[in-house]
Amino acid sequence: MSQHPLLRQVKRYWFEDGLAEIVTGVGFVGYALALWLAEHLSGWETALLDILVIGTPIVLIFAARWVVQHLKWRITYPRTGYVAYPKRFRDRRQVLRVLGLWALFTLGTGLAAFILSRGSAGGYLVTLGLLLAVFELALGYAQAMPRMGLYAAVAALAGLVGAALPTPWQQSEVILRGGWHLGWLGLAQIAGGALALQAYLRRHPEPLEGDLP
Amino acid sequence: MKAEPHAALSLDPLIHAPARLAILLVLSAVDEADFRFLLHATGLTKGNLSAHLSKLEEAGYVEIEKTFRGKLPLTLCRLTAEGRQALEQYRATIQQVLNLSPTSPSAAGGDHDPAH
Repeated sequence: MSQHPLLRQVKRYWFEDGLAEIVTGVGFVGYALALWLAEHLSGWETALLDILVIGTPIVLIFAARWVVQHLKWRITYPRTGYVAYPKRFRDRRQVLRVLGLWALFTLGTGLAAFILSRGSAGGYLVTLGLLLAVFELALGYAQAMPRMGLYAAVAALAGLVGAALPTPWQQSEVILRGGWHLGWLGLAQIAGGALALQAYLRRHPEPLEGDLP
Repeated sequence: MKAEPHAALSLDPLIHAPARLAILLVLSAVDEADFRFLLHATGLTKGNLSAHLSKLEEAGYVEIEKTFRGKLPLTLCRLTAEGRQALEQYRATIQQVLNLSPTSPSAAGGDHDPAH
């Protein structure tokens, strides 16, 4: 359904400065690096990998918004104003619903990638990239944010490049647990977010004291 | 027999002004927004926005709170329950008016060629 341009602009404001992408991008790269570290530690690796896989999405869901909000108070709100969007987590039931959806999405994506690739590691990586790309495109459409198309392309490309890697690499925990895709996606988001931030700061220089309403 | 007033006559004149409608639309999509954001979103001038917000506040459609965050002055604006209801009513009325309006000669009941 089409939406009034004014409402679309309000919705897009959260992404206008690129901060949300930079913060989630750092989270994705951090996840990939942590997976890589955990794989190279001896003794604790299995437990640590499991904690990372379960813990990182939870931290990302709940902490990313808080960090972005904190940065916006320093950078965005003094320039183009403060806005509070309707809270996503008004009660415990909503929190559980979001966590449930996240778990379902993660398991569903992994399972779909495994089934569609019929067990081949290369096929799994390509399918996972394509599924992530579809997710990014859907998110970009819902948030009226065309930049997401670029991230979708990076996710798909990460899958294709991953399929060309030597077999022992393809079977490493970092790659099998999504670290490869999310690492590249995170780097793309950091780059895209930084460009958006640069453009935003150029368009909206810091207001002088007298300019404040 | 007294005729029913046309639906267009019952449109809330306070909301019908484009600037005030824009302010209410923005506020209906968020929990709260400050004066600077409304300036940015609506493209109004400071004086204009201030005047329209005062009218909406007087009508009880908008709640305004002046506060500070650190050294940053904040004028927070929120849509009240009354404002939300008035906007919904406005939306329903304008929809009704548009549905009653002829959009083509056939909708107006005329199937003649206007060229003749």
